[in-house]
This record gives sequence, structure tokens and C-alpha cells, in this order.
Amino acid sequence: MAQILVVDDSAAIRNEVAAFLKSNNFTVETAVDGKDGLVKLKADRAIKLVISDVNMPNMDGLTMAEKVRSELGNQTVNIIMLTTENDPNMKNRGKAAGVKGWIVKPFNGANALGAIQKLVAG
Amino acid sequence: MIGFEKQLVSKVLIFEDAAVAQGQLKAFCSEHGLIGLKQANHSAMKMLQANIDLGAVLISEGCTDSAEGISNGFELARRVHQLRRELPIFIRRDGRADLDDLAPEQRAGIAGAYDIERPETLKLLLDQYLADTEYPISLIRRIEEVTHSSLTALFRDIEVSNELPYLVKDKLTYGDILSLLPVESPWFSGYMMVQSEEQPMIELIKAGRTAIDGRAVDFRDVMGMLSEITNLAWGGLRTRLLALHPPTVDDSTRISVPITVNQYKEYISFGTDRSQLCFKYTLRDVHGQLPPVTLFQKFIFNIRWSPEEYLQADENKVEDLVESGCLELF
Repeated sequence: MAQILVVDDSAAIRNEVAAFLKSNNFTVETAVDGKDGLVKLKADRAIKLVISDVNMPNMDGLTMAEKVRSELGNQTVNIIMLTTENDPNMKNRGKAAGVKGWIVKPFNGANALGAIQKLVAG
Repeated sequence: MIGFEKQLVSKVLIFEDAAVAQGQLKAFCSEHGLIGLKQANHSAMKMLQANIDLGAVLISEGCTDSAEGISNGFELARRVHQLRRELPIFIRRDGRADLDDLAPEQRAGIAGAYDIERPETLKLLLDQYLADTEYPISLIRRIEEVTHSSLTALFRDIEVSNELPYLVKDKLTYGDILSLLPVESPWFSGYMMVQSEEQPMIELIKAGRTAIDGRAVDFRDVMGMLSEITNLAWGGLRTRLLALHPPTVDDSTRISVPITVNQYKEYISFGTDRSQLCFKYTLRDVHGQLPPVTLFQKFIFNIRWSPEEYLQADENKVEDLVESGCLELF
């Protein structure tokens, strides 16, 4: 069972983040967009943390975060966004949806590792 | 860095038979930030085909091309204009800088005439037709810096270098693949286009220089990489620009125009003749085992361009940004 779900439409980013997490002993699942992310979350309730892009086709990351709470009724999974977006309005929308953190791309695992470990443990 | 870039480079194709004028043009190009590409052994049309990122074409009225059966500069200008109508053609004349004595069919396609003994006449044409858009220096530096760091983040063991940014009038596309992204801030609106070649990029992916699985690579992976390069570059730039100018534009007032592409002619039109701002990056394998990858990044501000507003902003605000890659916890 996966601990972390990585959601990004870019294979390069998905693979990069997943490889970093695996090298730090996390088990990882991946999804290609928000819709796929919801399916994976529904199927695997053991997922503790979602790291998701915002701008994706089919379903964006913020909508996915909102649906995780409202449609899946999953109040426990932690969600952080990994995105090129740095707009305060988007961050506020994320906060309202229960998003716990925001990383501006490019991904720098070393900078985020401590917090990721805490969110998975918590 | 406040102000506009006055010395943006541009590539100009030069068809000139007279040795004295060649020397004068060389000095002029060097003084005015032009890269003069002189006709060598190739025919004029081959030279034209080989250069797709030009700013203008300079032709002398006495220029001939026996390989193409062209007996004077006006005929050559007509042929160049037929093929690359978007390129301004400046014709060098002896002792005059006008086209007044020419028949309308001879003038067709020629933007203007200059006399190299009076270099100011050529400068006037350049200012009018090529340097028609002013680009703030700090914006140019920011684009280079952000794109450079995006490329460095996406590729491993690769050295990224870039040429001086330059102005392009050409509308021909480079390579096999291109990405287009609408770019918008309160003071500009247009597109960012990134172009590259498929095979060298495939080689990079196969060799494990990206996070993509290199075992079964195809053109889709290259498109994915180009998409991510575009996304990261614009994301980084937007973050910095919006820190200076928070968005105020109402979405309901957004204007858009169709982008048209002729795939056979490898031609793309954004509906504007404004000079495009072009950056050329080269990705080189640090181990020297893989072919280099060339990337052209062009900015086409076809809807709105008001850089004066940018120059009035407080540059120091950008320093307050959260460093990319850091996790901001809520």
C-alpha cells in the first residue's frame, strides 16, 4: 500500500518526485491528473500524503483537493501542491480545501523532505 | 537595470557584391548589434532557406546570382519577398536612399533604400522595421535566468548555454516540435513558443538525462519534455512578474486572436508583424557523448504590450519571493 500519491500530468516531474521519495524509503503511487488521483485515492485508503500539481488537464489539482474532502469524504489525507503557480488567490483556495502546503516548482526534494516526513507520519 | 534594450542583436542576411560596401556593412553591423550573414558560395535562395530566424535582408541593387539566373538586386528582392514576405528588405543604392525613380513592380516587396555612404539612412530603416518593439533589459535578463534554471532543473549532466537574445521578423518554425503557451500579465499579453528537434532530445532521454524512463522513448516523451520546459519557464517568470504587478485584468475582457499554422510551409502567424523576442539555448552533454539540443524560445506579444508600466514597478519586490523548491506550510 502506498504512503504517498504523486499527481502530475508531466511524466518527467512525476518520475522525478517519485524517484526522490522512493530513495527516501517511501512507497509511492502516481496519477496523471486530478481525476486519476481521485480514483487512486479511493482505491487505496492507506495513502497518507498527496503531492499534486495544480494545472492539469481533465481535473486540476485544487478541484481534486476539494473533491477529496467533499466527495470521497477523506478528511485525513494530507495534500501539498507542487506547482509553478504562486498566486495568493490560488493558495487561499487551496487552504480552504484543506491543502497543507505549497511548493513552487522546480521540485527540490532536500528542501521539502523534513516536512514531507512529518506529514506522512502525522 | 532600468530602461529599454537599445542594442538587441538581430541576424540580417546580406547580398552584396561590392567589396568596399561589404566592408562598410561589416562595420555598420558591428556598431549596431547586427549579425551579418554574408552570401558565401551558396545560391541566394539556399542561403535564405538555411536561415529561418532573420530580422531583415540587405540587398545591393547591383547584386547578381548566376546560379539562380538573377541579374540585379531588384529581381533578387522580388524573389526573396515571394518566399519570405515578412522579412523587411533594404536595398543599397549608389548615391541615393529612395525608390522614387523605380517602377511600381520594381519597388514591390522592398521596405526601403539606403546609401551606405550615409549610414544613418540604413539606421533609420532598422529602427522603423526591425527595432519596432522595445524590450526592457531587466525583463530580458529575467527570461534568460528563469529559463536557464528551468532547463538545469529538468536535465542532468547537461550544460546550458545561450546566445544573446535577438529580434526576429521571420515566421518560420524550427525543428520538429513546438509548444505554445498564452502568457499574460497586466502589461502584456501574447504567447511563448518553444521549438526544438526530436532526435537529439530523444538521445538525451534515452541516456537517462531526464526523469523520463529511457527504455521505450518516442516523440510523445519529447513533447512531454517540451511541455514541461515551457510550463516551468513561464511559471517562474510569471511568479516574478506578478510580484511586481498583481493581476488586475478582468478575465471577461480578455481578447484573443487565432494562431494560424501552415504545416507544409512550416509557417506560423500570430496576426502581428511586431518583431519577436528570440532566445536560443543549447543543451550540451557534459561528457561530450550526446548530440547537442537546440531550443528556440520566442515571445510574441500580439495582444498587448505596454512595457512602460513594467519599468515603473519596484524591482526590489521580486527579492521577497519564496525560493522555488521550498515547502510553504499552511
